[in-house]
Amino acid sequence: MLPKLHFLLVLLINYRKKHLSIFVVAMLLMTLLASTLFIVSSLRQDINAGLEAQADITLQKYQAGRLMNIPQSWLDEVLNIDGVTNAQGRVYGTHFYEPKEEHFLIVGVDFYDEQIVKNLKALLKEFNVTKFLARKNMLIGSGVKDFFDKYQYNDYYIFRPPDRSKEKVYIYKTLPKETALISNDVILMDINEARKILGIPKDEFSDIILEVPNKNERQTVYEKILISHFNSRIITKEDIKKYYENIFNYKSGIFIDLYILCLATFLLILYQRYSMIKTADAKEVAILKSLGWNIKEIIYFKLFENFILLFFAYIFAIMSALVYVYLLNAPILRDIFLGYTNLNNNAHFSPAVHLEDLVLLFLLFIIPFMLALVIPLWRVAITEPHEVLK
Amino acid sequence: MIQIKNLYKTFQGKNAKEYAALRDISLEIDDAELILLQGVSGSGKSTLLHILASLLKPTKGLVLVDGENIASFSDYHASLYRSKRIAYITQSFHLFEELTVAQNLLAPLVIKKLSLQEINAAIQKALQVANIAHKSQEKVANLSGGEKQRCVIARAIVNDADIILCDEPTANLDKDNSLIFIQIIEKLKRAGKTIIIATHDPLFEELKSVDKVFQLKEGQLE
Repeated sequence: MLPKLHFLLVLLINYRKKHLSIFVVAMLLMTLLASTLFIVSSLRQDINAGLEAQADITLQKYQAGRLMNIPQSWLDEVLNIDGVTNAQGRVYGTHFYEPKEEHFLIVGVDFYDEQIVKNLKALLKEFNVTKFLARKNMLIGSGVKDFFDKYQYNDYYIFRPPDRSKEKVYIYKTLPKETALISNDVILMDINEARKILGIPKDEFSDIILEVPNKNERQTVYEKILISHFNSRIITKEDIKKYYENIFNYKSGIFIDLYILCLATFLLILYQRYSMIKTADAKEVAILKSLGWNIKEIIYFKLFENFILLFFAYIFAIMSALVYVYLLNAPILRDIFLGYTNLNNNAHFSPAVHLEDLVLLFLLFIIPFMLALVIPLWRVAITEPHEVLK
Repeated sequence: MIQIKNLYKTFQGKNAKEYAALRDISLEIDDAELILLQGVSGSGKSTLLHILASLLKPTKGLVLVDGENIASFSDYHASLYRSKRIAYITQSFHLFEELTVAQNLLAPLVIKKLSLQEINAAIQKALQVANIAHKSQEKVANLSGGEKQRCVIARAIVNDADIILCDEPTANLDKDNSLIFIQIIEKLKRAGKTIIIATHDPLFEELKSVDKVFQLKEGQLE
């Protein structure tokens, strides 16, 4: 085995130019797929972590298919349902920046309330609420921050509420970059200020979030709300998770379709290359045959040669994908996955490399590649070499 | 001993027409003989050598090497036969151009159960016999035609085969290199090898060590 391996390496090293095109194309395709897998894993990990911190149930009011504000009375009602340990009315809405056709999500928070959303709870832990509320302040997501910087809104921004007045709100702080995936376009401010800017009456909310710690009771709570308010829409944490997963599955699905198309083309080229009996490969096979190699030995040898080639392409591809996604933050692909119809998302991909992803990638590439080689190789190997050797 | 009895080989030509490359060939070659196969291009010399090397199956007839009919060998046995008994030298070299002379000699040896030390010893011996040891680390692509031919000889004899088949071995060589080749061939004959040379080079006709000459014309022995 050792002399054969030695000979194989000698051939691979000295004929590296012949293998370069396969190596480069294989590496690029695998880098693309590995990057996609890393991005999807990273997004899934971050979104799951982000959603874990969200409220257990979100309650909205619908009328004639339109989302309506919820009256204060609903909040008092749901607080009396057994199993609900806390409930909070939220105020939010979109602020449209017409000149650039960008929009921000304004979220009003009662900073004196006990927060249900755990991220917010953690954020407010070391937060001086009195100082924040001393004047009209806001906390902004990193996408909003970049936008404000770009258009010279360094200290404050003036909102125009529906009553055509002006609301000057100061920039207090930027939300942590790690939360950019869900807070990129968010502006957090005092609930009353948000009401004013969005034109939401004092005794109404955009939605209500509920804390139901006991998972077994969530269904009962769900049913009780639905019985008393048929026009409500109840969203559980799991529903939101599914929604986000569907978005990323859809995006990565399109991507994988394109990838399969590229891979199929590549394999077709390979198949053709090895199908052509007069090529250098066929000559190499004929020489080996004339020197006493049998068909089995030749097929194993050529498969092993391509396996080594692909293995190194795989290693290089994984390293390139790691650098591309986690160091360079995946330019181009990031825009495809995070989308930038609104503010460009600056979210950083947190490391999420799973062994099963790496094994899957290896098998997804190596198996079809090897299968594409076996048949033409076998055909070349069983052909009488005398025509080539003449 | 090689015995060929009533050998036929037909090929499927264009328009599905069959043509006979060899017709009713019968001959005998004793061990350690030097044989010349002569004939014009297309007379069937190369086809006969390919059949003797078990690279091609005859359509009909027997090819007995020490009593064994090599025409009936499976791929596995044919490979084993080539590996152990056949050294094949062609005019177009068929070397791995990007490898060195010594690396080219690895190809027939790595399929045998030999250690790297044994392989290196066999390579050195073959390089000495073929008079190309001084170029062992040179890339084949950089060699002259004569040197490439000596590299082919070294590769052919590296596994100590006892039947050496040469197909127009001097066709691409000048006179000096052809004479060097002939010297090596005579050395191999003295070592007890059976040598069959298909050629129309007149240089071989002057060779005293030639035991038999077979003339082929349109696939038949004259």
